[in-house]
Amino acid sequence: MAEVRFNKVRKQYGSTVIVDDVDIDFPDGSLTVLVGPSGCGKSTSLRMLAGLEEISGGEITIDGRVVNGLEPKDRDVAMVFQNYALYPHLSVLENIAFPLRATRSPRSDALARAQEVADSLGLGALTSRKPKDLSGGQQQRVAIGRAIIRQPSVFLFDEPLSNLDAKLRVETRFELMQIQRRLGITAVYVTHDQEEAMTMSDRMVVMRDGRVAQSGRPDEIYARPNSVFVATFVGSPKMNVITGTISDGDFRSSGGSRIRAAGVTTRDSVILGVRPDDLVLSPTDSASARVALIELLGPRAIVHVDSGDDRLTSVVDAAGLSQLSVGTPVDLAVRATAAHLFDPITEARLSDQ
Amino acid sequence: MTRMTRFRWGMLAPVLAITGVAVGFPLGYAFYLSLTDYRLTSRGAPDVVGLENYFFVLTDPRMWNAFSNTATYVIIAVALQTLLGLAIALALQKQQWARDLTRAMLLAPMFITPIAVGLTFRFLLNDQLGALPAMLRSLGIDYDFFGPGNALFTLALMDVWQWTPFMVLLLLAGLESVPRQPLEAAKVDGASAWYAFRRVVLPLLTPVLTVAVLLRSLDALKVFEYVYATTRGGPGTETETIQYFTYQTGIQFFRLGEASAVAFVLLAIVLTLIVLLFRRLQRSAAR
Repeated sequence: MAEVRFNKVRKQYGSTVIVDDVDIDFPDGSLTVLVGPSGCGKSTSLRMLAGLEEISGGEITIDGRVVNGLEPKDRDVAMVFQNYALYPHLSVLENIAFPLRATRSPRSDALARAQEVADSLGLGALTSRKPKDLSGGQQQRVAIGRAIIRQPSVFLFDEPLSNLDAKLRVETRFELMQIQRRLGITAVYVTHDQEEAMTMSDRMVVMRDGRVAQSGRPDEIYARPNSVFVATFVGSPKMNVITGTISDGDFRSSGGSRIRAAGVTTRDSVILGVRPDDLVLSPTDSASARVALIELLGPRAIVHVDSGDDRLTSVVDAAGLSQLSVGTPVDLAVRATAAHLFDPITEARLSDQ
Repeated sequence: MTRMTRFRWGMLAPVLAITGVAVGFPLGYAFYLSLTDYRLTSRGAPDVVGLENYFFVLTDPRMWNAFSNTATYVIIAVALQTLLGLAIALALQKQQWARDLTRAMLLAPMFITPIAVGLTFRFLLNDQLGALPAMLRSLGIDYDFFGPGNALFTLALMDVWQWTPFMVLLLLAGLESVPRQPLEAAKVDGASAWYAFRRVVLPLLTPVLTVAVLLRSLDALKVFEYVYATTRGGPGTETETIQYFTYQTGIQFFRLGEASAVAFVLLAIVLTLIVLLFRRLQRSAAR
């Protein structure tokens, strides 16, 4: 168990900066998710922590010990790779036992421990198989088994679920969280999937272009995104973002939309962000906005609305759907206190309302 | 015969014809010779003597001596090439600059005809005239490269000199196709470089390694030019390899029947070895 700290960590190849003076704390025992679009530096950060990439500048510490110059094997970390990275020539049991064997545990002890781990992951019957004879989900379990057998100080996960199908992904996600909670080992988890990040993390670090865009508890980030980027990256369906002016609780976009935003301060030029769940549609014959498309999701539906030049989305309960169909004119309003305002130039969050 | 079968045989016909003329006939004729007492020096038509030649050569201590010389030569040469080749390939894999140039330069020995290599080494290592023995003598070391007990080893070293680059190329290609991720996993799993090499890289390299060793062994079995250009089988019969022995029996002593029989014994042994090896390869691939 250990606390991990990034202190002005930097990675560059020549003049290309991949990770730009990043500061992150990973509290002891927490599960922190690094999330961001591809190329944001999240995987590179993880690989620097693992020791697979050199650190160009700054310091990474594990439990207060600077690990910059240490070989991966001396960092006491375990990693689960995106493509599992199992040893193709070794059986399931030998794969799981590998970290113990590599650190010179006696063979019989290592295999006995591996058998326990395999049993706990439901791999007990498969221990003599080779990786290629396993399904993707089973391979992933072997990779997890190999990571937990040594009880490392830190777990590293590099998009471990992205090669699984949707159903298995949700199941494995849940299992991973349980294992991490049970062992209480500090975990760093990289993904490009914001939903995975939201559901799994104790702490979430949103990255963009090699920098930390925002970090905090996932519900905090969802509720108070500090920039347009974070606002649109986190949450599904995506937050509506439109530029315009506000006067007397009325927002008018440059594209010609009109949205009621009661209680919001008058501003000349502003970016308004509204989560689809907070955009209220009320059918009104005189309204200029029209329903363009309805996507049914069972109990709820995503309703796309054309308003002036803007295309907005709203999430509507099945109950509210009876009055809506394609072409219905609707008035738009933001649920009270649910408007997010951003500076039109810096795209940074403005003080509330 | 349906039209389809006729078409298939028609498509195969050219290659069958070429194989028949270029491989089948000589092979068949050699087999026929091995059953006769054909000698280039006797004028009359050769008599068929059945397996007599085979009994003769199989009980000839000189042939077994030639076999064991060849086996020793192949084992020493291929083992050294493999170890050296692997070491160089591992080093080259880490090379950052001038990769293509180094690789091209490495190939140079392979382009020299073996007889020229043989002649070069014959002079380079000659006890009286050679540069290397002279240099060694100035260091106080007296070593006769073609002397008794040394000559066969020297021949193997010539093969190492000429063919290690081939090993390097094959193994380098093999190393570069070994997936990176298991190796990274091994590092994180706490493996030392040596342990990761032994337990991860080497097993993944095994198929390439096997093919490389097989190719080189078959090629080394054919050694003739080095012997012809340097020792001519001496001192005594110490470096008389199977090919050289066959050549002597057939071309120098004109006993073509016996020479053909030796060639077929060699063929039988080599084929058996190859079949066994491929079986093992397939079984390990299936596992």
